[in-house]
Amino acid sequence: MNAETLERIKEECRKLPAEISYIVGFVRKQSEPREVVAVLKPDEVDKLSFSPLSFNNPARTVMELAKDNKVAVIAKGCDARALKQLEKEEKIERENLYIIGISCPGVIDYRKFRNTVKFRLAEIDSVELIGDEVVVKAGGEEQRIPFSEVIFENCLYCEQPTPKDYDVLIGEPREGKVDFSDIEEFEKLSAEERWSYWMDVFSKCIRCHACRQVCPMCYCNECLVDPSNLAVSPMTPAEEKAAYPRVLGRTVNAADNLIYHIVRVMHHAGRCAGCGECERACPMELPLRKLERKLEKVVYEVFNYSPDEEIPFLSKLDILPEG
Amino acid sequence: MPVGAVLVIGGGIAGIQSALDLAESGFKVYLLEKLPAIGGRMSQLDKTFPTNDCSMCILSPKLNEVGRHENIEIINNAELVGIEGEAGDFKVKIKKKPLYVDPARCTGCGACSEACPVSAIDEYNEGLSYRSAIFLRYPQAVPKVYSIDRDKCIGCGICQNVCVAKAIDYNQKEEEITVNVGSIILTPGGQLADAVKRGEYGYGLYPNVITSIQFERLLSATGPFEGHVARPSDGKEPKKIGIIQCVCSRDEKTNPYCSSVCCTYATKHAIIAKEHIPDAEIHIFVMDLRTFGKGFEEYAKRAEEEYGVKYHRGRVSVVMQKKDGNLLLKYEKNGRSYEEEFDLIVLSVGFEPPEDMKRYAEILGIDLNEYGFVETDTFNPISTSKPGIYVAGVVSEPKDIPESVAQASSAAAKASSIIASERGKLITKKEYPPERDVTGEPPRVGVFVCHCGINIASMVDVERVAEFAKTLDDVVFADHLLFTCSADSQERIKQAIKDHNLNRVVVAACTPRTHEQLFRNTLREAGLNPYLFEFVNIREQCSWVHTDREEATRKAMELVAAGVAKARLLEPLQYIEVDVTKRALVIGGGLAGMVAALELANQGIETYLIEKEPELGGNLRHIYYTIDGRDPQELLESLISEVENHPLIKVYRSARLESIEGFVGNYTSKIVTESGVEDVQHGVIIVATGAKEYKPKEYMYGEHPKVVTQVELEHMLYNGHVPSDVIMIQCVGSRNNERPYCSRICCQTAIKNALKIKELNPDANVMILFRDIRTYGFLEKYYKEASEKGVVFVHYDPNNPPAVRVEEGKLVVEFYDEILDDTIIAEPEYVVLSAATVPNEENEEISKLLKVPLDANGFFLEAHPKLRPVDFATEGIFLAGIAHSPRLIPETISLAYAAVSRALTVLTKDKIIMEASKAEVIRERCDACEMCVKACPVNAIEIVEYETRAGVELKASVNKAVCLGCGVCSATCPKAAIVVKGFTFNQIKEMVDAVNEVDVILAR
Amino acid sequence: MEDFEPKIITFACNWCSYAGADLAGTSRLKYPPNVKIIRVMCSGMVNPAWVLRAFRQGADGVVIAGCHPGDCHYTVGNYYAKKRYILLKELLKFVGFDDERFKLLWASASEGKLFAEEMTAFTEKIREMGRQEKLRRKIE
Repeated sequence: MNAETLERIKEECRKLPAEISYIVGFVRKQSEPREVVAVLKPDEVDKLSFSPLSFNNPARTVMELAKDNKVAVIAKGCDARALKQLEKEEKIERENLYIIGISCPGVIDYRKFRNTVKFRLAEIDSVELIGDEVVVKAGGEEQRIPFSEVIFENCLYCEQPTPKDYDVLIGEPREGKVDFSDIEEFEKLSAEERWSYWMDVFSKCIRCHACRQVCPMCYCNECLVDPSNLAVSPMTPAEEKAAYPRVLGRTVNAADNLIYHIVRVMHHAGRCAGCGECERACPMELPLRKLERKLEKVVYEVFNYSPDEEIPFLSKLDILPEG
Repeated sequence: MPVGAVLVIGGGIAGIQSALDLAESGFKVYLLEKLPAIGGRMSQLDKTFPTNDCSMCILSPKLNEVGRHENIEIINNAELVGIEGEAGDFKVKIKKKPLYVDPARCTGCGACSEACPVSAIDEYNEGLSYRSAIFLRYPQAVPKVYSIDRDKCIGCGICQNVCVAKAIDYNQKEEEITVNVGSIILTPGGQLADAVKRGEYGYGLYPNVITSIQFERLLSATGPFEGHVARPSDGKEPKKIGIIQCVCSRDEKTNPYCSSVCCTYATKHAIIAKEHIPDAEIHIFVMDLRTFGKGFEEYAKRAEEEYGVKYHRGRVSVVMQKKDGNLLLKYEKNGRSYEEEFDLIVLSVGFEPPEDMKRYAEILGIDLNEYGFVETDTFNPISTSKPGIYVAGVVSEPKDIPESVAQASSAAAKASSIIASERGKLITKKEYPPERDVTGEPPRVGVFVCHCGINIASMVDVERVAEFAKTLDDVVFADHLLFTCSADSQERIKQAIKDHNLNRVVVAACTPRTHEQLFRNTLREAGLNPYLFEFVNIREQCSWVHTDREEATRKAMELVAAGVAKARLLEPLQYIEVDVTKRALVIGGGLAGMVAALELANQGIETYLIEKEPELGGNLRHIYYTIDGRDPQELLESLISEVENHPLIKVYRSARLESIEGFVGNYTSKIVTESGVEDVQHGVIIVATGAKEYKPKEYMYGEHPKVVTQVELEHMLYNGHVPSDVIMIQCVGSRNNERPYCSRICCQTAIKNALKIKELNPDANVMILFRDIRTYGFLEKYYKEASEKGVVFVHYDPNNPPAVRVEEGKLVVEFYDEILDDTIIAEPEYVVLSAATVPNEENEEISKLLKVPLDANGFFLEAHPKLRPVDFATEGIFLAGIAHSPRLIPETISLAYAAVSRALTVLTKDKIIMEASKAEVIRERCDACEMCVKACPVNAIEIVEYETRAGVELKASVNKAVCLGCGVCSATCPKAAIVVKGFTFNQIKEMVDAVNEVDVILAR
Repeated sequence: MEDFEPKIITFACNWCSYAGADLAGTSRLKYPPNVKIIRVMCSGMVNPAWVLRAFRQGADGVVIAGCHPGDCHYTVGNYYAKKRYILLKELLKFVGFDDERFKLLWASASEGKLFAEEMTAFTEKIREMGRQEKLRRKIE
């Protein structure tokens, strides 16, 4: 994830098939060293940027755009996994996509980065990952930070650093791993310790629904556990409004918040791409991936399901042995 | 003028199936049962093979369906007295014996039985427990009416005193009635042989020697020890069980025929016993293991490999009792004697004709065969010797449940054939007042709490519950009734609906499983939509299971609160009506396909018959004689000419099905022939694609010209080429790892051909190398005949199979003879291989086209192996012939008629009316993620385009004609955008809430 | 904790478990009145959100009861029930909720005795575990 990666991306983007009408890639944010997802025309390749701070997931942007257009997308392992999932759920057609896959060594945790970097964010010229070090340059100065100090923790357990499905791949393929040691560690705590941990976590949750907003899998127009987004129009008759499913009220408290997160996570069983957008978006910095990962562990260990399977996990018939 | 009614004699599973098929296709049915309750033998079974389904679970819905069917009249506790008239118009005299209980008043509460001081032997539990003199045969009995056994009754009058419904009537008299019917179906089943006849096994002498049906009751959760397996002498759990097969079957002293079902039921008993007592050791002593039905061979293999059940081939000579009650069993195997000790011995007793068969045959004027069963013909397996009287089930030959059910449907088809013109004339259709539109009205709930005599009231303070109900939101009326199900109560409910302008009704009484339809009907009569009703169960699930009146009352309140909470959200639902195209498509023009097409056409149904070959006939073209000397080619010719000349049948030869779209009642198919493509519309499909003989890779087949299959041999014999020295090898390509199933027909084919050779050349040498000779039912006599005529039978072990090789151009067969304990080398002229019957390759394509499943072996998989043998899970598609599983000509014919009967239940209706509680998509909330589509067990959901203001949008859509209302979709959908009407997300959620909010309500 | 009477909600499928509960009734087998049965057509229709809602509203135990594997009236609904049950149970356990309060039971129409026994045992177990305080809505 250095200048060379960016050059390769640009190179590939310059020779895209003619029918591609948009590129969904990363563009550097003004006055900050990180990239955001942007939609570009094929002639705007020069605007592209890419760095270990290109941590966002472009899948949802692609989902909207690829309905009527052919789109090229720059996708890290998790991004590609989200795209694949959306494809399984008939939200995207593969033929509308041109995937420029990135073999991803992991991305930077922006919160850690801001606390570690010595420059003012606006001054930073470039951030590159060279070997094990993040090299930050600003006005001729350079700071080298060991990657392990700022890596997004989620990336340590990445199952799929390299996209499985791509049209072109940049970088040497990397092996993923199945590692639930963090979850196993947590499971060793007593039930009471776990409960107080989560009560502590969820008493902080303000149910702003940011996690739902950014999640590539939470594309539902309405959410069973998000009473704030029921599609009620002024024309909705009272009877119908009463018939709308409502599990939770709007009051915010730890138990309701827990139910919100459990239901949301259950809907992600076998679908979660593992990108960690939920955690990044959470203003309260809650460890939301932990619940998702617990479920991933169950899906993997009990159901032996791989997210690469064609049929969505929740729809799949599993006949488990009794006992 | 024929009469559009049918009398079915015998209310076992066969009679039930016949009755339901006929009633559903427009005929009035009288179902005569000699006992007070229908259900027959199946009601006594714990599990059914080969799936180990709970027997009562699958039977009970059928019992209830019969019980409440408006066109079926159950004449219970009755017997046939006389008959006059002829096919199309019989007058039948029936004697109804008194029940001493008024069925109109009896609510089935059982208070009488509990109070009765008499203790009599319980026949239902085969003498292993006691019942009272006033009793119900079994808890799920239909009709649910108690009766008094006057032989046992001491006339104390206690029951009359405790019966709040005043239903007991000691003065009831025997009564004779006459019914007028067009045809008669005989389904009285059979009785089990009396094991005492085989005195050497000690039944009746040693308490721990029991019969298989007693063991069945022992294993049952509703049995004498509630599923705990205990032996009679000391109640100890048996650790070593011996099961002896062929008790009064295949036995010259008692019954020479094979009872067909015992090998598989013994396997079932062994498996279930192992589940009850995991460390038990179970030995089954067989002569031949005859697990020939669909899935049976695999079942026996599982018993052996997974459960460690031990099968011994040998005949048991004697059983002796030791002092401690244990039993010593002596048996012979390969000429040597062995002895083994057991804790319990189970005798697998066979079937015999029903005890009153002879009398019935005389009354009806029908012929019985040499064994006393009803005589039928190979090509007319359902007809008796008297026109207009048909037969199904064990009474014509021992058989298992699926064969009986298939025959029962067949008999229904035949019985309706002769009175087809009278269809719909004698049935009643109820008229209801127009339905009041309640949309927009706020809920006005009426609650009726039932005393059920004292059944509920003794444990629940019914009046307090009714008072409590009045405090619930939207409840405008609450009452309590002595018997809410009684006729006068229905009038009171209707009156209350009018007086209080109720638009939701809640009844708190017994169980919806028996009484929901009754109250729904009452609502309809009062002009309310039947789905505005909610049932609360405070008897079976409250008063009868609790002991503290205060707590039970409290619970009843909670349940009523939940019921009302749901009722407030109930919506009127419309029964789903689907038009029916009254035409049929039959796929496959072999025996099954032709028989089916012809019967459909004879009943006035236009039928398309498609055959992939240029000519009709299928496998029947290669069968030249039957084992009982009939001419299949004659049958073939007459069928082909009838089919081709029938004005209602259109035959497509060299044809292929390209696509099928639609659902029950409304299919459109594309048929491709050499002359082009044709679209046809039809309401049902019958799959009769057949199967074929396996081309062996074993035993030098294809390498030496004198190694042939049975079909090839038959062709040779037909052409006058009779070999003089033949060795036949059984199970070629069957019962192995690749094809674990038994091909069922090959044992009889081998014997048929062996007998033919002997007939044409009595000096010929014929030897049959076999694993088990499976000449089930009456076929057993041909096995015996073959032995008598000098056909040599030698058993081989699959682990040490015979070898065939060629030495200097000559065939050499080498095999091990267990009795001689020696390896034999023979040089026959011919080696004949009894090759497996294998499914057609096209099955896969057809299964995909129709979206119906195949089993692991590539045959089509029916909806239920027991009770729906010719139905697919998808409504409107049926299965016939050997596409189902290998079978003989009469069995194929009966499956074909069965498929027709089932098809007629659809085709004879103008509209199919379905339960309204189906899945529905709430479009605004759906975003077409397809999770429900892929989870739906019946593929009822698809994604379709909708025009909305925002343009064309994709949404899920439910085909209500296909949907079963299971709700798997609703729990899969992440946004509750698909719900099952009557069980919506909010309805159940409100129930959950209400149960928990009763504290709050009571506090206010 | 004295006089604690647990509240138990049992979702029972129409074809097997509800019928099994009926059989317990017709056989007059006893189990505690703490158990309230809610009829559903199939165990596969039980929405995990109902279970959570039940705990939130103060249920001390929740049971999903369905047909034995292979016996489902709709052929496979119970397998889906089991799948969702495992997911929810594992999550509840993970967050430190007493997941033993949540149970899946296979009970056929002929297992009235089993149904009564299981309900008795479950009620007693919940009684021992005490009130479910973790998710219960507090009246504030």
